[in-house]
Amino acid sequence: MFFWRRVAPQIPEEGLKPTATPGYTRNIRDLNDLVSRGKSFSGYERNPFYLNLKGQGFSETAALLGVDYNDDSRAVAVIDWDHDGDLDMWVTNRTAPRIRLLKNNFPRSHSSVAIRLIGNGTTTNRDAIGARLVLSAGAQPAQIRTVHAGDAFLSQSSAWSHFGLGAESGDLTLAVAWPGGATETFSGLKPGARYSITQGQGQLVTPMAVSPPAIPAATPAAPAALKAEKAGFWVVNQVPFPKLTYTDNKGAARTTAEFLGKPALINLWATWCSPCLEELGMLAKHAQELTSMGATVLALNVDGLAVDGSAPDSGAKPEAVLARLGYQLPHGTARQENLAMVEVLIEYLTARRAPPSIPTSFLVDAKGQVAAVYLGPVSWEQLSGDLALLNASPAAQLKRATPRPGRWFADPLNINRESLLGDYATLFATNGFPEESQRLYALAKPQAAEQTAQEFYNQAKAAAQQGLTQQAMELYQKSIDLDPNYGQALTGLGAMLLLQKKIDEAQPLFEKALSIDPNHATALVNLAMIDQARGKPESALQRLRQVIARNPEYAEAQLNLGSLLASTKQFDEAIKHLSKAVELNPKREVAHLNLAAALMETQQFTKAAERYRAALQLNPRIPQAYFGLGMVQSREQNHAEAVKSFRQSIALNGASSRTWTQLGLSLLALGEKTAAAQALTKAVELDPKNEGAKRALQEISPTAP
Amino acid sequence: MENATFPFPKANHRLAPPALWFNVGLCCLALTLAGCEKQAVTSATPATGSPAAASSASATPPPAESIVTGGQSKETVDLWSDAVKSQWAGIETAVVNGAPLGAEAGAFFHQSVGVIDPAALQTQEVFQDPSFKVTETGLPSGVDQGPMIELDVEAFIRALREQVGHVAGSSDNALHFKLYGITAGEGRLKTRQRLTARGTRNGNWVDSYAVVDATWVTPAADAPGGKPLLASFSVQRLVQNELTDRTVPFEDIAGTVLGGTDAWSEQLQLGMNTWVRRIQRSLHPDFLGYHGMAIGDIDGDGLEDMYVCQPGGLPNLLFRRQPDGTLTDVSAAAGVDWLDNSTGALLLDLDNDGDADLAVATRTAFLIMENDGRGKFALRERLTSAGMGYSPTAADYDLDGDLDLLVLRYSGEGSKGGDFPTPHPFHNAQNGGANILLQNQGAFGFKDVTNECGLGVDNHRFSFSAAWEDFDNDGRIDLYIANDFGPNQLFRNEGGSFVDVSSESATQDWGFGMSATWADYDRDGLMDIYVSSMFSGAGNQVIAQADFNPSMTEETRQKYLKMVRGNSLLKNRGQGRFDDITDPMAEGFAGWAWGAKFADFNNDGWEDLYVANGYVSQPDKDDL
Repeated sequence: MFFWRRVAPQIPEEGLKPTATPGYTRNIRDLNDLVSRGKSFSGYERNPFYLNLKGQGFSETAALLGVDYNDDSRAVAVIDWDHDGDLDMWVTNRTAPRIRLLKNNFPRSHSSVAIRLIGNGTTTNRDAIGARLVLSAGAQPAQIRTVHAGDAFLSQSSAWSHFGLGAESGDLTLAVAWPGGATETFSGLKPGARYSITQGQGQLVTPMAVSPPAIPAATPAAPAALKAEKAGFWVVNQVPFPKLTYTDNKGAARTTAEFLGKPALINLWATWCSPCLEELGMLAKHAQELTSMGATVLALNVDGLAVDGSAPDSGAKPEAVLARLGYQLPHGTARQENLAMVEVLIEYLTARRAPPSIPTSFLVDAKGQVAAVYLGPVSWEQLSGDLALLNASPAAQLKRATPRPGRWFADPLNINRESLLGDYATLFATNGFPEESQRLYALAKPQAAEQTAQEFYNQAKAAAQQGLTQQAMELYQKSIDLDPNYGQALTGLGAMLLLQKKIDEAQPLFEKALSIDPNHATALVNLAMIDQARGKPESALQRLRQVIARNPEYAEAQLNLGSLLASTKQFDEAIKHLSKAVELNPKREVAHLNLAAALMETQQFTKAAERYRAALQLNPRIPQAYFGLGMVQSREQNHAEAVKSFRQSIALNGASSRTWTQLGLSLLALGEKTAAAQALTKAVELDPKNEGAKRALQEISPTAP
Repeated sequence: MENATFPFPKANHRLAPPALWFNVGLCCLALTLAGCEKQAVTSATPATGSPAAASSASATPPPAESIVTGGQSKETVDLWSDAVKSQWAGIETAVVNGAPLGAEAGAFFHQSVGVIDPAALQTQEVFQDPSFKVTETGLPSGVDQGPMIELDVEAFIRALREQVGHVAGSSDNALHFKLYGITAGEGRLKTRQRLTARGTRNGNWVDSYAVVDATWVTPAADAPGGKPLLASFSVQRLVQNELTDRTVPFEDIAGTVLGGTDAWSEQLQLGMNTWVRRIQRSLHPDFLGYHGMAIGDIDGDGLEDMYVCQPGGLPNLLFRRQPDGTLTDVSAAAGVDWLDNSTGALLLDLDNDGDADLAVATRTAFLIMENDGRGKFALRERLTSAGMGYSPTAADYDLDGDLDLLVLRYSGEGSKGGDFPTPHPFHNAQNGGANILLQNQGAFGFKDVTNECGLGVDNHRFSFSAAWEDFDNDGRIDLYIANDFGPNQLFRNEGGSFVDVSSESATQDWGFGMSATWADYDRDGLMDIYVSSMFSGAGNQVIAQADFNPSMTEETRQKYLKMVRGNSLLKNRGQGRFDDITDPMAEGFAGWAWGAKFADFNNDGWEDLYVANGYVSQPDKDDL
């Protein structure tokens, strides 16, 4: 439902750029984000099987045939695997098991014949792909097959052409039209046979006596004995471990950066988690070996922290538990923020978003890079092996990074490391850790050690997206310090200042941007806004006209120019620009409303009503639109409808004296004097200076005050 | 009326300069802030929060109070739709259990339920063979509306149970109503849903399918969120399939055939939900699981073997078939155990030397490997211009005696892949990848002839797969390309070059085309097309609402409705024209469909269809 309710209504019109409706791209991003957080999307759908009703349509029989799997299935390939005369299928899935072989056990009430074609390799390809086979039997309509290779989704089926012989009787005749060659005809085919035909030899050959494979009876589809669920992986494209600030056992704040210089296992554990206790016991037991390998452990206790929506607490004291386990290596207490950062790290490494399971550990090398992730407890065998691997060649490390061996075509180590680390730093920024992001940006370029204006700008933008105004402003400033002519940074900082209504500070920034690029659209639009705020509409108009001259498709600029023109009573020109704004972005309510208002002013009531209706379709809760609609209706002497519209307006905003007045007048026109008087009284109550309402009241009931 | 009553609507206008302009400053071309659209909406109309909520990802549907009464806003219908689904769940349980509801009946049913008088219905046998019987029950042809009778709740449940063969057990699909249409009116709801039921009759299993039109009485105080009560239940056509032979005709024997391999126990038995937590993302363990397979005889022993494509970080697998039907893993020895994310492959004789060579679509390149005749492969060609391809497919399009290759490419340049894309325009997207036709030059040389053959036109659609077939029986192989988010394409082969005849042949089949397969399903001598696409119950409900994307033209809305109708059967009428003869409640009604294959599974001479279905199943079943 999310897709159709949230994403689809945001789809931009044909002809518009996707950016015209930022909601579209954003909602698609949100959609992907929700999938990465574990939501299903058209999940658990069953595979249908459509039985051909002898050419008269199909009927769904998957459940009856036992093939209505609710896997996320992908590819289907057909083959008579066991040479028993009926077609079986291989199916691949996204979900487990990722492959199935569906053996066909249909009763053998019908026979079949199967043909393998071999082209001559000169005029026809050897596989005879594209050959057309036509099988005829008596008066029955012929059956045709074409030899395909790779039709359907991601699959190549058997090269054998298979013909079921349901009602076929009499002589079987086969015509083979070879691609790029002549047609050959064969007769006397026997039901149940498999033939190979080599082009030009004119013979039906029963190929190599292959006895039907004796596939052992199927074992029940019990989940196989898999190795215990043990997630985690070696990190081949390494990133720095985030700097976690935790509380040590003496209550002091410490950071994981202190472990730089030697490999460390950073372990998240809880007293309520028994695998954690076993793991810590193991670490305690091997403490000396760890030390002799130059490695250490930091066990961070997460008791009482929110993990996966709940904050379990065993009531045990972590220090006491560690003492009982004989654990004397470094340890401390994690903070909620540590878990959030770890979540970002895991998201970066896996593209999956979930709170860390407990226990989770990270093997961090002497340079502070994450070398391995263990989701769940790690064994000593694994850990000691991995510690030794830290000094191994990149090729040896890459081998450990794949669960099973194989060969690479594109070397995974050959990647743009700077861009990888840049993305990593950005992910921390967008998740609300701008400081960590900056630290990581700096680490990303240890040689240069300095960030570029562009990098500060990117971080600033990320911070601004998070609503971290102060952070964003500082970062924009840093970007400008490095490059005083960085137009986007100037307007970015200016926009942040405007948000805080600091017009005087914002103005010079936009002017500076304009001095670099006299047509800087952002700067012009913002300066126009400042002009307007300062009561200089002429200057604002001039700037907006300049923007539109170069960017006629800039919907918001058209809208603002039109609105500004309307507010200075230049309605005809206003209508032109507002119409353009509506055309460019039909989802902008205020464009419809302002256009409607301008149309009202120029007595174009029918068109105005159209705009009000359009605005109401976008958002049915705009009292002004109902009011405007009511005005048009009362103009058209359609007082009954007008009354409805005014009432809808009042239902949304009951405090408008003029709406009550118009309601009263329309009711009066309908002859409903009592109701009219009530409405007008309300209008006067709301605004004692409403002379129109008072006058109308007087007319209804001359005795009224 | 006095002029003063036509003021410039100050409420809007007052907002426009300061508040609205702020948004301009922020939402401008040069600087796009994610949050700004939301601000724009709120500041333009501060009285309402609903548009902002509608555009916010995590927002739950707005609470009932925010609904405009009287009108039919999207939110109203959405809430009713959720309420109806929840009611069906209760009714399903009641019918499956067959237990009297007693006082609880009032929570689901109106006083009585109107149904078509069973006496007016006729049952007709439409198919029979040794293992299947298919019947259709409905009004006689020519009769549109049957006489309605009222049943009390107990009688209704009894009648439904009898009709669908006493649904058995509590399996999740014993009885299910899939809602896909809804309109809300004065105190009434009309809904349309597809009934699926599993029952037994005469000791045989019986599956039932029907389109049900239901009406519901809604709570008096037109307040969405209340419980609609079922008042009528009208079945126009009930299809029932009876399995008259109780042997289950298929069984999964992958474990038997593959069980001796580590590839099975350590690789294939785990799903992608697991693998993405065991392989670093930078190795591209494609979460969406676009991994297929190729069948071919790699060693000339007459037994076809199999190559299986795998996600990044797991080796592709080549299995050699043993005479007993089981498989051994020869991937490494054969030199084809690529760890790069791979989608589809072909095992074909590309140099006409009598053995099956290998072509495999990987993330960064299309790889072509030569078979030494004994099942060992050497890399002969690496086409990096054809990276990130899907569903490679082969044909000798120029009839020069060797096989040419077509690589379908879904994602446009700059796409990271692995996610739901951002197609534009959504229903006619042209920002996808460019498909590539590779002409075989001999000796493993392949030349990109896409443009010179006429396939370069309109070549930026989201294509996952294509199927070659001689649809006009002229001896030249034509090409049908399935495209996501828009029209499919039929290219007629005019002797080595292609002409787009999609429009004149009526084969565009506007939709979410995932794949296509050809067969002469009705044995009239002409090849027909089956297209895998998407049925969406949610899409059908939402698009039909008047206020879905109000600025959309009616023509576009009709296209959208076609897009969510589901899979299509396009019947070849000859003379280069096709008719869409899909029964949306039968072969059209799949779901999010991927691969589909025609094959005559019961050997009755008529080709059946199996369809792979479903996008992403995860532990959180709450579906997006």
